[in-house]
Amino acid sequence: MLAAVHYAAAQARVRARRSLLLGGATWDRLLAAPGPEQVLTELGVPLEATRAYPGQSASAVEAFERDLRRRQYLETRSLAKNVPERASDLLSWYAGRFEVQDLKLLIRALHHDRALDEAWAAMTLRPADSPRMARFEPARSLAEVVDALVADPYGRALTNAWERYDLERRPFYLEVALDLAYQQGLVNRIEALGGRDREDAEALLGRWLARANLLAAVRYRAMAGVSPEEVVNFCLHRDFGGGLAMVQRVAVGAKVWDEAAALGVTLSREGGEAQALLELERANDRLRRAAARERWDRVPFGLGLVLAYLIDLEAEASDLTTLLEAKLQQLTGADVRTRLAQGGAWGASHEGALGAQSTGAPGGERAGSS
Amino acid sequence: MTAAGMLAPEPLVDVSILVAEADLEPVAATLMRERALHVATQESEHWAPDPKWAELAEVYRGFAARLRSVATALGWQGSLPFGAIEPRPSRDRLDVEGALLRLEARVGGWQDESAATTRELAELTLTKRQLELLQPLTAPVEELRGLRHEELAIGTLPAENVERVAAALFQVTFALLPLERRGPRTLVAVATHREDAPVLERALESAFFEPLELPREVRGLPPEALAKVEQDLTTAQERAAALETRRAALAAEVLDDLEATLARAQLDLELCEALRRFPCRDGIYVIAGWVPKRRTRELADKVRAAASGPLVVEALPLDRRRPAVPSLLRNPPWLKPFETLVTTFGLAGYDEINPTPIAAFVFLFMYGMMFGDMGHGALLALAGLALARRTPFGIVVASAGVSSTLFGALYGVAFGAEVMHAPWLRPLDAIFPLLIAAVVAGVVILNLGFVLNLVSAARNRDRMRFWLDRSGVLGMALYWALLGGGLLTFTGRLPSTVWLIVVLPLALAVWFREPLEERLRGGRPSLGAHAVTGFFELFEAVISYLSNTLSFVRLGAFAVAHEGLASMVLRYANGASGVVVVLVGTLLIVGFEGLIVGIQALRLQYYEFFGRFFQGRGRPFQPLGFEGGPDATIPVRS
Repeated sequence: MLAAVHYAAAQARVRARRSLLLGGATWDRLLAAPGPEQVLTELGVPLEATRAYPGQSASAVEAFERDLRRRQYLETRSLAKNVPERASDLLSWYAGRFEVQDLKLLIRALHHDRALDEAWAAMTLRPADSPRMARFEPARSLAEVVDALVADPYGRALTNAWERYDLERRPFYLEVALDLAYQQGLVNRIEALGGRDREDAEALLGRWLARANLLAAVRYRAMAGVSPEEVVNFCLHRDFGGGLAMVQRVAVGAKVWDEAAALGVTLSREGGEAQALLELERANDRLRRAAARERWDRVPFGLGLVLAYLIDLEAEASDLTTLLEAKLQQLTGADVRTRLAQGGAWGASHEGALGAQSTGAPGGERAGSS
Repeated sequence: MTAAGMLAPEPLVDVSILVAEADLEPVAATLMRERALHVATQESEHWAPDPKWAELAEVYRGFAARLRSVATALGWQGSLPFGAIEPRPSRDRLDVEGALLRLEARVGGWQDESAATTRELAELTLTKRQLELLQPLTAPVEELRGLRHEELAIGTLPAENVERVAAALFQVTFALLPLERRGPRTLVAVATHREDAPVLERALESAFFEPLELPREVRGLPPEALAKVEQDLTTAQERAAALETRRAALAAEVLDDLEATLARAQLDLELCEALRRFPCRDGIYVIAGWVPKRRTRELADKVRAAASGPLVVEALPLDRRRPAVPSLLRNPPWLKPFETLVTTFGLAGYDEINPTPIAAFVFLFMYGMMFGDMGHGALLALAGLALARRTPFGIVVASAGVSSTLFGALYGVAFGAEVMHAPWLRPLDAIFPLLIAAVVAGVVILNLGFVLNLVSAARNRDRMRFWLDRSGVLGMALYWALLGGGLLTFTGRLPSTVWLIVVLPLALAVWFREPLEERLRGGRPSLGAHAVTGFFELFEAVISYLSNTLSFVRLGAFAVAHEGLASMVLRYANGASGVVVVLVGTLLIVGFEGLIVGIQALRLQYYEFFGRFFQGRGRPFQPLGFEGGPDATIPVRS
């Protein structure tokens, strides 16, 4: 009963907003469009409308893609106002991934002495979108960024990593600290939930985080060549999946397919670890979308439905981005269709088709099969 | 304001102001004070912002940061005296810089001494803590620096990384001793074998370990060294106390100057941040954006008054379909609380109808019909009024209560009991007529949605949407052909062949709507490609017309359920516990059922009603202004 009270407005809103996601007929038209400009026109986005920040020199496509991400951020923050406190805290933090990405862009620009206007033009958010962005907007040096965020969890992460950065002059440490602070914050907020909200958050965010943690551990070990101790320090120890033991095994050489199998994802060994990592990345998103689709058929009053809608929104944005990038490469609609996350079936009115294509059974998933 | 006026967002005009550089600052400052212009970003090959304003902004940002540093050092708190300041960044620079240098010279010596003393106190405290830990040792401190078989590290880690380091050392033997918490960090001592030193080093470094080493001058046995450090600490503390006394005197002496300079630097900075966005060419700047139509003349007069030379203010009616145009709703104050019913879904775009007045009416109508009861409605209204002290949403709750009371009067029911002859009907006695009435109400609401879509399309001169949209003329015709024609055929007043003759062409038009649109736009559509998707669209349209209409049955169903529930409470309210049963039952009905009814009303509104005409993807109108207030200039020091 209390869940109904707490989630009343949110569930009415997400159900209604979901009906506004692009439907199958629109996608058919988008796929048939000859180029990216026509895709934007089909979506009713005049090219000049996408110039959203003074001094930006990005193309209309880049600007539109940024707007898609910004829409996700604003929608998540806005939904956070309609749910109970702990769920709200989780949603606000989840939206923060865009702030982290932008902060990393700023760090790189400041570290390499690049023009700040260009860095801001490439960012998803504007200072008016988030108090955090507004705080670090005036910063003109990395030290000022850290000072501006002094009372902020991200500021604390940056302060922790500062001495290491100062010593080696590698922004890598600042970025790792930020990523870890974000992921740990997400874990803490999922753990702070109770009952069905926690189950849903674990299913939709927690397991996604666990697979992302495995991806990160393997990348650090195999791609960045960092030592086992560093791999363990740079990854999550509690992650709703393999956790610390998995990270330690990967750090000393365990293969990604063996660890992925324990998380319910079967990966091919044929292309080596690099190929398997790509497969795992795709499977991670696909499994999360499958879990989101299941939520729509369950009891509506809860965090699960809100997260499911946000995942649908993210999938739509991801597909639009893929489509635009593919159109820039002059690929045909048929070529693009196979690359889209939704696999050619979209929109709230196509749930049957989506359900039929779902490969997200709890028992296992053949990555890269669709 | 007329009712029709409320339905549209505040009309805006496209304003361009051409101003010479000499007048740029006073004109921009006036615009910022008036908070009436939402700036449009525009650049072209020949017009670009002058980088000098960005550079000047940096200068003032630096001034403001240095002034804040002085203010923080002096322990200043409060708001700035912005009141009488007229910002002129190009003119103020030397004044602000001069005042800043004066202040820094006055406070700088004390500031350096204070910082050095604070640093010394921190170092001595840390050294003292380390020496306290070493008290049991009988060896001189300097010998610890030369261990041969063990690697020992003492320093601080982020508190959350202590366990992480232990986990990262999973391949070696080690001892990790957390000593004490120091704010967000923990002081630790870690030791391992000398051969595992590289592993320890990597684990600590990647956990952002900061080593602490005893200063070289600390020597001898730990007790002797500790006594020396404690003596130094006492001296430093006495110096810090004397510095604090000087701080209070300094603050009293420079406070007025500091606040005035900081306020001016802050306003100059904000003005520069605005100026850096305006494109210019040959000394002429363009300030372009959107202004509420009703404020255009007044704003133009004020801008002209602010300028000493010629100035062009051009106001053009704007194309409402331009998606970048922001949206400013103009609901009267009494309607403001109901904005939540719409903004929870989305903000009306400038090219859209502002549905707040209609949404408020439709919501209250549906709520009242489902929750009709004079007693429960009155209780809800009282609860809403109490809630209104804390949140404007209380007004919505109170209004829903009033609507429920009015419908309760039509049903003749209070607290589930029949208290008077029902002027309309009693839900439990007339279930079928009530359900029919609910569907009729749904038909009216859906058609209101159709009409609003037509109005919106006509305002935007969107002919395709007006004629061919599923909620346009074509969709409305198919809806009525299916519903009205179907009813007439079902009741035998219309031959089924005639009905089919009417419905089939409309269905075909919906089926091939997309190629038709493409053809009308001058393209060459392929019928084959659209045949399958078009058929499913038609199928979906027909199903949705039917399901949307039948959805409104719940208006009647909930009214029946409400009365049934309330009368059941009365039936079980016997004996000594009767009062408790009535109280708990009423509480549940008003609290829980009242909420469920609210959700259903919202659902019908968002799905069935808004779905016909409203997207809700507007951008809020954000006028250019100084931070903190609409007047010249923000908060005045209390």
